[in-house]
Amino acid sequence: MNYWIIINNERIGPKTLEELSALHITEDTPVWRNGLTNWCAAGLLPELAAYIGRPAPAVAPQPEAEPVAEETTEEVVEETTDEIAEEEVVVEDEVEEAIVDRPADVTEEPAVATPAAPVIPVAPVYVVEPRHEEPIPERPKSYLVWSILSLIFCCMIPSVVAIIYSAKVGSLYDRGDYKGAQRASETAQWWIIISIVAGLIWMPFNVVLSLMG
Amino acid sequence: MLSGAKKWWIAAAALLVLGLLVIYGMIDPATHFFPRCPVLTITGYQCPGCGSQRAIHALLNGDIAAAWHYNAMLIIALPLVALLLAAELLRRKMPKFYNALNSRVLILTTLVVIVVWTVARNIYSL
Repeated sequence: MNYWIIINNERIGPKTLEELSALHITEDTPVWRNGLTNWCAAGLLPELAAYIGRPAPAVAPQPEAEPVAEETTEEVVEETTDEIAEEEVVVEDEVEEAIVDRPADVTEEPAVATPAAPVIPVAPVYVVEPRHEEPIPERPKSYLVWSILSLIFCCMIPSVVAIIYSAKVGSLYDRGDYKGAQRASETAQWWIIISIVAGLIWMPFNVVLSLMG
Repeated sequence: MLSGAKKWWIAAAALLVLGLLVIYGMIDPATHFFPRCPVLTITGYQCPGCGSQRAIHALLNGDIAAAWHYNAMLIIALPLVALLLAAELLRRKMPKFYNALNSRVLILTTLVVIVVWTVARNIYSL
């Protein structure tokens, strides 16, 4: 199960429960996970009870962070929840790369501006840039069954090519190459059509050959 | 839920398959005129699907041994095809089932089996 949380107006996630323990979560931190229709306070989720620290002291009350984040998550909710679980794994890698980059930028600037300021040990704040996220597309069809059927009944080499592209759909999709998967899916579809058309074109020749003996 | 157009397509396809099953059940392709495989006609080699029509006729008449003789791979492939068709129809409801059946490993295995079968049947005239 993956969680998204909002800290300091930044949307963070997906995170597993273990990873959440490294973050500073209060009872009021907005949280979203699969199965929730909307963001809810961390205090309301029983599984998070163990990870909630005391409320952060001396921090201005967080403004409601709903509007921006809500839109993107609504899209995610609409997708079938089963598939999301697999897709999240891919996104996770990207986000983590982004996380690694950020802290360096954040710490540099204040150091120059106020060199004498006492350094307050702060739990690492993971900042994720609010990037424009496209909803993860559904896994395209691989058309395997149609490849096999056209291979058996249309008896055509194109069907073998179709099967090869069927195999590519899943592997490209799992790698996160959604466009490539979509292309492979369409290519497989075309080879199946070629196979069927070739089978149909063959029919008249068939009649002629059988009449000639 | 299925959209209206999709329902009609499925109904039409089911009707077509039913009609073909009746024809293949009643007429023996071995003795009557039926389309022949282009690969066999042109090259003289059997393709992986050759014998399917005769095998289906034999199956529909309960003669599994004859069906096996005409095209053994078809008999093995039928349960897989049935599963794949079910997965195709239930893709929205059971995406995991569909993805498992359409996994890379399974597809490549299918491909290897087909290639090995094609070579073997032409060498050992299976």
